Amino acid sequence: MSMNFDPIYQEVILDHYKNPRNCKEIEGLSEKGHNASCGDKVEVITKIEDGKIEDLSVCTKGCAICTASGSIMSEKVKGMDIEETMKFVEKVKKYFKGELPEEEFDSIFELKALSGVRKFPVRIKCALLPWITLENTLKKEE
Amino acid sequence: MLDLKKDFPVFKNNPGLCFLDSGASAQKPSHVIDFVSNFYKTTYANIHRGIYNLSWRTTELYDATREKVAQFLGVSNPECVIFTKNTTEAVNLIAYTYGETLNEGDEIIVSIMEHHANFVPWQMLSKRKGINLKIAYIDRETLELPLKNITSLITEKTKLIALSMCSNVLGTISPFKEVLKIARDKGIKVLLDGAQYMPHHKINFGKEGLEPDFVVFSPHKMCAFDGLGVLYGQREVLEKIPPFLTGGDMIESVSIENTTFAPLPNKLEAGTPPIGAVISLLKAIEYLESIGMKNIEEHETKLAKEAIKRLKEIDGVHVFAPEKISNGIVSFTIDGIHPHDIATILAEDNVCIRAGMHCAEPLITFLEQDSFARATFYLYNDLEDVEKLITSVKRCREVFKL
Ligand SMILES: Cc1ncc(COP(=O)(O)O)c(C=O)c1O
Repeated sequence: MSMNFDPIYQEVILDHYKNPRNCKEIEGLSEKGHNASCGDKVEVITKIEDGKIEDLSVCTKGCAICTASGSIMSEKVKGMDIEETMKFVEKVKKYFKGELPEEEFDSIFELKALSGVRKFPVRIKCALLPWITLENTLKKEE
Repeated sequence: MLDLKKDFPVFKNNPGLCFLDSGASAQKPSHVIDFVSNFYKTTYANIHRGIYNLSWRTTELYDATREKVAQFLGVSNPECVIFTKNTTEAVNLIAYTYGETLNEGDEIIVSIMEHHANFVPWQMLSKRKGINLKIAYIDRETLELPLKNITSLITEKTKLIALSMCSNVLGTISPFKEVLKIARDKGIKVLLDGAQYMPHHKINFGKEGLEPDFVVFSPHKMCAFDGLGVLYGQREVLEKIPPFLTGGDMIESVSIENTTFAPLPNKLEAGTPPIGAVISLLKAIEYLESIGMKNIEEHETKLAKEAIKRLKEIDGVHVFAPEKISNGIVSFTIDGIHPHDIATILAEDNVCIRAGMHCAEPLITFLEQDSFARATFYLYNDLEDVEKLITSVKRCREVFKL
């Protein structure tokens, strides 16, 4: 029996895991995040100009969920202004934690794909790590 | 092969459960659960202080456990068996009492394969007291811990060797018997972390002429309840060290100015202990002995060997175990899949393993890995569990399109 549909490791997640976007060298504010329970590590570098995320780099070393989540994040928040990003991060956090309905991100299918983690409480931390790291950077920036 | 799932209600209540995480904590048999449940229904009271029948009967069971543990270890002085909260607390007890008698410049040897429980307390002590912490490395190829890697670190300043009897990640058995003999001749104290050894092997220290200064282990890994640890120590050391925690039950007499302490074991057991957990250990040892420690060791080794053989046949799977294994610990990685993702996919199939650093970060770093997936087999596992593990590991590669 070949299972080609897994509730968590869907095509889009595997794609972002195998080819993470936006891990690059840029000048900016660097923030590191670490998940002690599983060893996931992430570095987020943000280049802010005129209150906007002009560019960002997200490099992860860890599981597929953390890596894909970071990669997806890097694509979604680029170009957003800080306040908008903070609100978005807050919403994503609530979503992963199951505090928002699953349909909440029907329009952002990559994030919807990550919603499988909601059934594995331990793995929610992996998905959240890049977002929390970004949030920490922006708090400093503010 | 043993066929024991029927003795463990968790399997009846979770059909299809493939539980391969006994290295973290073991399931409990009815023999243990029912006895303790009945004990709470019929007999429970606090120990020591009560004159009345219930307290007295509870105390008898509590003390019987201490004697059973002494017999299990093959030592003749039950009063030197101390009940703690877990292995971690037992190590800390020694680090904060005996450890405090060490001096700046003294040396402690630990191995690279220690669980953090037998590493961090010594690292902290070293920083507090200016002690030199020396690391005995395993062989990166064989994953064994050669005796000379320990003995070559011994100097006149060596005061303590704190050594795991069995690695919780690799299943590697340390040369603790030889270390005990050598250390004894040199007057060096030895603390053995038996958390992964006691549940799986028979060791009779007395019969083998071995006298470890301290042995620590966790009954929850050997079918007893959680909340309990065991420290066994040589009487002269335990008598000499100051108490770790002070307060109730551990005193001889208290005045406004001063306190004198009770003799062993009470001196080192302050406050109300986890009585039910202690009594569960009496029944757990009884149960394990009724199966036979030798049979348990053989059974789980057979399963682990089969699992290792089958895992190695799968492309991209690497097993981290020494050639000669004698327990059920199987750590592995799959190229291109992080161990946490492995454990998640296995969990979807009801196969329970552990992934991560396994509280042994220095070892994982030494092996140049980020983390491991670890399956541990115990007496209730069977060949069907091996089959489920293998099927699920293969599915990991399919899911990841490898
Ligand atoms: C070798 C070893 N030492 C110590 C411990 C710590 O045991 P506990 O968590 O019961 O204190 C463990 C448990 O995982 C272990 O495997």
